[in-house]
Amino acid sequence: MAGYVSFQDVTKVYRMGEVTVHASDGITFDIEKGEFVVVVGPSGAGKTTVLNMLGGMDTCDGGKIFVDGEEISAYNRKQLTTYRRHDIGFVFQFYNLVQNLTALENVELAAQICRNPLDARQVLTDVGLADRMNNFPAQLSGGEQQRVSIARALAKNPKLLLCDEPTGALDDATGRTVLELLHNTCRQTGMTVVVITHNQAITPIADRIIKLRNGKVKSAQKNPNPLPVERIEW
Amino acid sequence: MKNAFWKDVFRQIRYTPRRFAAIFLIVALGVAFFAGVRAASPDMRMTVDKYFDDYNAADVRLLSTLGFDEDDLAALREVDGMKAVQPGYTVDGFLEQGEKPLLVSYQSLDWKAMQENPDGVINRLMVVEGRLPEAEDECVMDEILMGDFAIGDTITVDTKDDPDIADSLSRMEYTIVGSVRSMDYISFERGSSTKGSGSLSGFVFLPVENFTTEVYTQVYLQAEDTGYSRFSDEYKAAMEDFCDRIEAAGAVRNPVRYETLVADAEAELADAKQQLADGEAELADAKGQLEDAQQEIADGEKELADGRAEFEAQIADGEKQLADAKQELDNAAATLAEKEQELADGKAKLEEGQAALEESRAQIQQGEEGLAQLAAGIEQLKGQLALLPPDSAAAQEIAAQIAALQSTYDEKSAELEEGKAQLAAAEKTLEDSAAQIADGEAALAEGRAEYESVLKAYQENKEEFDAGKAEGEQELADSEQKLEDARQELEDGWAEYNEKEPDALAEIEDARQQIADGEAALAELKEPEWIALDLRKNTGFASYIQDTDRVAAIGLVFPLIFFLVAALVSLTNMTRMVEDDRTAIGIMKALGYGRLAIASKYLIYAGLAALGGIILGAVVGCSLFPRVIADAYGILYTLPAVLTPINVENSVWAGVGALLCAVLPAFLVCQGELMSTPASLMRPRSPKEGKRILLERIGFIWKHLNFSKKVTCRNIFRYKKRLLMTIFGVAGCTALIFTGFGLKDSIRMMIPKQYEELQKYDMLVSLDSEADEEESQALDDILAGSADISGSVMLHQEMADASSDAGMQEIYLVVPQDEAEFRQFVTLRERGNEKEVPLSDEGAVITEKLGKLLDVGVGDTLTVTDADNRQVQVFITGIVENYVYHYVYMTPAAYEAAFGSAPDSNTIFAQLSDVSDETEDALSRALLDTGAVSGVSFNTAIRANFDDMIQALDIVVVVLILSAAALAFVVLFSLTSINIDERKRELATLKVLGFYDGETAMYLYRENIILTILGILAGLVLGNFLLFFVLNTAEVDMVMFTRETYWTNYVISSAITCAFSIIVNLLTNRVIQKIDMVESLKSVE
Repeated sequence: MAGYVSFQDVTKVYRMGEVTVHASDGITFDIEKGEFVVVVGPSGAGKTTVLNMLGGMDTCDGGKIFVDGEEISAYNRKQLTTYRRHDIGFVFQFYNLVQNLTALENVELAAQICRNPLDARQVLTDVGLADRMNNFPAQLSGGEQQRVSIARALAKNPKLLLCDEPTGALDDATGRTVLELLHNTCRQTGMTVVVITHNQAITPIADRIIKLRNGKVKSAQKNPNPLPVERIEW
Repeated sequence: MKNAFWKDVFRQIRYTPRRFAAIFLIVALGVAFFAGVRAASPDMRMTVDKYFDDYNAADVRLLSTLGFDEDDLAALREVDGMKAVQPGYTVDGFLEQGEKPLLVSYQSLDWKAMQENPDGVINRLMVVEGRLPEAEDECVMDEILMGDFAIGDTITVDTKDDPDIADSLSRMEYTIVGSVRSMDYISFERGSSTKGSGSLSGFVFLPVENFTTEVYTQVYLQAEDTGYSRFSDEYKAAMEDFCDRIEAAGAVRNPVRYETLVADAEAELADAKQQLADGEAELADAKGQLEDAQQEIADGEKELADGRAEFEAQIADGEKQLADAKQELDNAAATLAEKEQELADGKAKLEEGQAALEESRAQIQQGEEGLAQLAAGIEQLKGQLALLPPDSAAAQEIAAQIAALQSTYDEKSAELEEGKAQLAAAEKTLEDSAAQIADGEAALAEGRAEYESVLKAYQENKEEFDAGKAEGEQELADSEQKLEDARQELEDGWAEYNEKEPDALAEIEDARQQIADGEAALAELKEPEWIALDLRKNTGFASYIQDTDRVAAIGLVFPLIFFLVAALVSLTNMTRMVEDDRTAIGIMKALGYGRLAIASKYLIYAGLAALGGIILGAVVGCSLFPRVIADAYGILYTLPAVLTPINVENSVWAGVGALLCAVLPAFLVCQGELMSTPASLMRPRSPKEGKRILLERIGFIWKHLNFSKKVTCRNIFRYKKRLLMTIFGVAGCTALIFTGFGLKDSIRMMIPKQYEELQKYDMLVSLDSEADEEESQALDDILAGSADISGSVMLHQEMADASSDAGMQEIYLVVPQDEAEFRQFVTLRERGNEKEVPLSDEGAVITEKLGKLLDVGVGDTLTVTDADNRQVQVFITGIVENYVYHYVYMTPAAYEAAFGSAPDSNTIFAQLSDVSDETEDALSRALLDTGAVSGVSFNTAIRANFDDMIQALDIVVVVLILSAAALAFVVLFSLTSINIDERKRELATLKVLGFYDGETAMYLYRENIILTILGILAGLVLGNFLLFFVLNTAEVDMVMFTRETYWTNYVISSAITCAFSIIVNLLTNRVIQKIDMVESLKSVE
């Protein structure tokens, strides 16, 4: 039986001049609803490709991708946009906040376009930024910015929360709080969260760990005993 | 520089083609427009300068009120600075062409000089087609007349409408061998004339030999080369001095020539008078001779009649005599015949008698014979008796028988004897009768002879008489014939006399008139005056100067806008580029490159783009814009194609400017970056902070904006530089378009305003001052009776000059007979408030532009010089709205007060109920046919002329609009591109967040739309100023543009700008769509 999210023999080939790169070479895995998933692998393993295809930012060349029973690999450009719009929340490594908008406005920017948005203020309060709502990104620290980014993703009330190296640009302590926030969100709201990272240290907190190498799935296993965030070290 | 360095530069170009293209294009555009539009005026001037040099144009055209003689020419050659003097002839006259002869200027061409030494000929003709004359009966014709004629046609000087021309020209028929242009006429204006309609249609050059005028009518003068352009102030000043010297020479010559002229004229008059007397005497002689002849004939007739009477009497007499003689003859003949008859009767009787005699004689003889027989019988019986016894009975019987016989015998013998006696008597009588008859015959013969001789005489007489009669009759007939001949001759003589008399009388009358005229002219003869006309007094040249000034004025403002925009565009682009390259700069610096070396990359990048743009712009601009603009003005002039060399001066200026605009910003931006340490450069630059904008503090507005509008507002103010540039670029575009349309409208709207609202008449009729009663009546009939004419008014109108300290302008002086009536045809009102301006006996009402040009207003005075050179001061009582030409309106009383004479009515304004070409043609012909009209013109035609002029400006407007389009395009495209580049990450993020393509684009476009709207608003304001400036500089002296701006212009210029903006946005939309969402994942550089 297919999972909530299902990659079935997905391939993606980039051609750069004469060089052909198999960024994704028959990737297959399933994710259950409400899981906290960590996709891990070294640089060039195909993490970002997986993320792009899962996030509807790119299409696959072969295989099938299902999300909540829908075959998104068959979507056209417009359908993909709609998919991103309503079903995906994205947390970027570099936050990608609109500099010209306050924290609240950045959240509203996303919230205003989807079907069942959460209240922007509430979400920001939930991520601990109740006092910083009217600040511009430049006035916020990196962790705060990433929290705004998470709030922006959450406010859309998506089916999937995709996080690309959410701690990559943050120091240890801050990264930990961000991870905690994501973890808690998953636990508390039952949202499916997919975190992509090269950082092996994060894997213990995951419900499921998918290891990639050279465009292939090295292992995709459920972690029977996920650790709380405080327990991990890196 | 190192190889790698150059590679870096060229890669930079390859990787940022849009940026490079933007700088390149805006620089090209700026330089093209700047150098091109600014080159237009110098190019146009240079073209004319070269044209004038090539054809050896005169600097001064000298006219004299009385022509020039050889001494004048000699004096002119002595004038200081004189290079060449070339006298010539001109005479205005008509040229036969269809129904309506053309009024043209006949000018002399020294074709031999053209063949022998063309370089020495001033104002050589430019042959457009064909060739110059090579014989005395060939001519060349004005190019603009050639529509109705062809080379090879024979033209005929019309002596019917203008017999005087025979005094000036010896030959009237010429063959056209070519069409030409003359330096004297560079526009289509051919000047005015005192003949015909007063407006010349063109010129015709005739070989100089055909001119019989005694003195030269004009002299072309060339000054020593000044070395300056004919358009320069230096040249102008030099020519003014030159003219002064010429006129000074004239001041010396003129009194001398006046004396000569007076003496000549007097001698001529005396001659003419003598000739007149002779002529009159001759005519009288001829008549006297005829009368003598008539007398002779009368005498001859009388003589003939006498001769005939006498002859007839003589004949009658002769005939009577002859008749008498005949009668006598006849009588004589009758008598003769009678006598002959008598004689014949006598003879007959005689013969009868003789016959009777013969008979008697025969009877007698018979008797005798009987007697003899009886005697013989008796004897025998006697012898028988003698033998017979005597008394026997037989003897007795015989004796009885002898006795009986004897008795009978005896009886018979007696009878015979008686018969014989009777016979003898009868013979006697017969003999008498015979004698008588012989007598009678003799007498008759005599009578006959006499008769014969008389008859012969008679016959001779008769013959003689007949001969005489015939001779007499012949003589009479001859005389009669002679008389008849004489009579015929006389008749012929009279006929000839009668035939020739009116001519002779007319000639005499003419001669008398001429003498009178000559005397009057002599009395009026003033000292001649020289009028030196330099090029600036040539209508065509003067208006060309103004036109080129105007083009120069446009070249002053418009290109500046382009330049500013070009500077801004390259500034933005370079700033962006240096910012993009921040890290690379840091690396270079860290690697140990010097500041200059690093900066030079950007300087070279900007420099290359600018240099390419400069070259393209200069090459294209310098040939394109002058050509388009000159072509536009070419409609108004007959000039060679404009020369479009690269205008080095302007191009260099534009180039230096453009280079500075491109490189300086690059340098300045670099400097800023280069001051930073390599380390800080290599760190990602902290993104530009978000800021609250002023609007947010105005809560009640801000709160009412929805989210996307708030975002837009904040974004707009986030990049202030771009905000200003976009607004400025769009404003520039809108302003240019607005100015273009406004310019067009202002000029276009003059015409309906002028000819529908102000001058409401459709037709202007110039009256012939020499029309007689009958002709005038015919004209009145048409004016009153024609269904096409709905109304007319009489007035006085003349061309005059108005001057003040500020200058001089040509005006129409209009004096209506009846002001109230006149106002139905011409509106005299103030502009704006449309208040009627009354005419006053105190002075004149003048038109607005005239007042402006001469710097006079109500209460000031104006000097008006009329065609007769009468100069008067006129007090200004009002200023009226008017757009085309200048008018000075006066009441008859004011006119009389000023000029001292009452105005004559020489013009009629009329309104037509139908202004179709056919109606106007028919009406014009009918009016001219009356003989009371010297010219008819229609406002329809004036409108058409003006339309031509406006077409020239229309093209300039199109150039403006197209340039504006290009400007808008480059600016918007470049700014939008930069905007997209700068916000690629933001846009990618939006896409990841699930913004549809349209929403993503709108996120950006909303800003563009608002900026465009702001730009348009600013542009409309700017455009108003620009339009005002351009109108003021582009306005010709003769016209005043309307200053009203139509709301449609606001709408159209806004709409066009919007359209450009939309096109640019559509083009950039593709770029937005192509933005890869993966961008959002990348780290900040």
